[in-house]
Amino acid sequence: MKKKLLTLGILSLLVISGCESFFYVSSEFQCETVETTRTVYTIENTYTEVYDLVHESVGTVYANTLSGEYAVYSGTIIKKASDGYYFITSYIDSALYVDLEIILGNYQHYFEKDITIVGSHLPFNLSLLKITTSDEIYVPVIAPSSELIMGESVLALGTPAASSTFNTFTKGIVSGTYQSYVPELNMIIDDITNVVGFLFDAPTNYGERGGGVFNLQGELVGIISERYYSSGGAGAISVDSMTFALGTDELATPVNQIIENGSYSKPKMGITVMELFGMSTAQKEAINAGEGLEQPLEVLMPLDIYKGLFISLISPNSAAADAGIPLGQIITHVNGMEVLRMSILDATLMHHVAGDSLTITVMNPTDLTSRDYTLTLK
Amino acid sequence: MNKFVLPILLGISLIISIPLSTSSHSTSLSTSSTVQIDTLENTFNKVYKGVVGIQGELGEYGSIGSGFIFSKDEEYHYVLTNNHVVDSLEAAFVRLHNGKLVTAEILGTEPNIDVALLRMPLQEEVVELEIGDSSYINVGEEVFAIGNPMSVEYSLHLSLGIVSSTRVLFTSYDQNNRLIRLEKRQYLTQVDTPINPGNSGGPLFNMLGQVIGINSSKSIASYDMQQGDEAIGFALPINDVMIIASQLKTTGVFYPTTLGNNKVLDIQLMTKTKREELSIPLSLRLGVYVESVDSTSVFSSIDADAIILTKLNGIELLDSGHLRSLYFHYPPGYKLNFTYLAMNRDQTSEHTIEVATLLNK
Repeated sequence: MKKKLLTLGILSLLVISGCESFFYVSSEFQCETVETTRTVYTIENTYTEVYDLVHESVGTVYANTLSGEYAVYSGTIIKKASDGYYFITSYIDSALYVDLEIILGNYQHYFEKDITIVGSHLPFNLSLLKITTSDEIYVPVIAPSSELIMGESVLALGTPAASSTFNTFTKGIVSGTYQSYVPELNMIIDDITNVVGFLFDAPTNYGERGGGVFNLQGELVGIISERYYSSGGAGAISVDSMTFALGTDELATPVNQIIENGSYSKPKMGITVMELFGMSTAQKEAINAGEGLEQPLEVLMPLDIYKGLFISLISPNSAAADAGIPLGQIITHVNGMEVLRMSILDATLMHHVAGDSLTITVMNPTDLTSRDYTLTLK
Repeated sequence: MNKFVLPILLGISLIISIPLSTSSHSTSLSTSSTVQIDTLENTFNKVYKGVVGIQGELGEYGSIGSGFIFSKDEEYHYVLTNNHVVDSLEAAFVRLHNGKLVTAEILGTEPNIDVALLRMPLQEEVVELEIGDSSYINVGEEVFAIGNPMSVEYSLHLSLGIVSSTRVLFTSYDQNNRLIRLEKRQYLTQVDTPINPGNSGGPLFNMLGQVIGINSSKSIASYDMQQGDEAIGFALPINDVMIIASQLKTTGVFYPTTLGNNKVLDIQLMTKTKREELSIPLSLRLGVYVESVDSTSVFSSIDADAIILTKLNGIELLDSGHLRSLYFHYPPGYKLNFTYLAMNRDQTSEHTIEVATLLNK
């Protein structure tokens, strides 16, 4: 992480007395006596440098409905196209909205005729738009989100719902890596798209989804996705500064797939797993007894293992079935990385497409021996 | 807290940002030296004796606002705060950093921009805060606030954040694109520094401990009451405040410089629908759409229903807040040269007009 750098410049500004205006003087406006010299400091810092570098890449989308109302989302230029730029933003249902308009951070407007919805992905709550233009627009350098470290400073740029706060810039730190947006305990089927990214504590507000999250080098590390807030209604304890971002590593494949095919679907292993992390013995016993399950487990869950993913079902003709992965074992690693929680496996799946190979390490809960399986994603 | 030792770059040539001049007032400084930005702890210790609480009846539990001491003369210390902190009071009591309550006289108030000036007898235990220059604030710059949020219990509360935006307008952007009186287009400095009720009137500092604003308001729920807003605080830029303070100090009232009665709409975020309705070119990025309301407008002599101001003395106008922040700092009678597009004529050709600022009395 780049060390915080502050540079300080001092300049002297003549203060002219006898004028109502004591800060500003124009060439035509000369007052008679120069009374004093005022010292003015300009403080430059890393955050300002980042803002100056990236602010024109972030902007808002006005999505007008047929009834004349419009929704405002934030968005970020993510990639150069041969004849324009790709702009990632919140999910826009092309059936509901017409007449899109994009305003970038330099207040350059792009109208319907220059904007196309390349593709969308509802589970990730994103749409990829393309702006067709010959304008020179700064495209942020993309840094791998998998290299983010806990506590690293990040800067968020997006527009809260009130447009008067257009491009609001806030500072925080990385609060969690490899986080699922909707943490689901117990059972997760890899057919369900579980969104994985990172959490940060820079304050964000409603409307900033689609905005950019940058590191101190000014590189894009994620896209603002969801802000947690209290769902308890009036009087409920509010949630402070927990925002979920889709990391650039998790976004890379979906974005490239959408550009190539107009859509993205997560590759499948064909495994149903239960996350052992955080599951109590009582919960395990209840599941072993078949409570809440459509059909009882074929193999019982071990009571004394607290992390990893318990394989409870293998779909026929799936990648996992082809690879011969057995039921009742525990997934401990994927491509050599420890799978403490489901989100690690989900993130890995998001980095790959169907046809790619993964190495899954599974542990036998009885004798604690491990074995690697290579499977080809479908 | 890390101590930042800073090389000072005095060799760089800086153009002084004098809004109404072009490059004629640039300067370059050739000396160089090293200056240190002190730790926040030390800077806090340097300035906290200049921050005060402001309350109504003597002995009343709780603080109703904050303020700060910015100057003194032989008899008095002068205190700045928000008008909304003192507007219901006959007399205010200033609570010093050490808890001492001092009766203060409300010298003058400016309700529209929300500034009030108080004075109290000279106090030995306080300091006068150094005033910075808010025209040098950068987005991303670290800033801190000291005030009395929530209660007297939390007096001299310190909070740190960064500048989120320098171009937020006092009258929030109207989603229905209605025109707004130019005089109401006051710029605010938006910060993510935590600011809470009771911080009102307190100082916003840069990392040198100079006051660069008065913490005045925050956004509580711009869209959804349930979600609420977080860390959207607003401060009045100190340069505007000092213009008001100097007049309040001498006359007790503030008469702003004005361009007469005009209603405006900013081009920068204006959507296509509204542009088509007002015949504003889609390609126009910045500028201020102006409708002169009556003959008091300095633009009333122009033969057009509406105009778009694009430049002032050669400086590109960003929005109505920019326009107002420029003329606000001039005395009445000062000549301004505007470049504009006339809406009922050939919109592609630029015209110019010289007008004189007025006194809004």
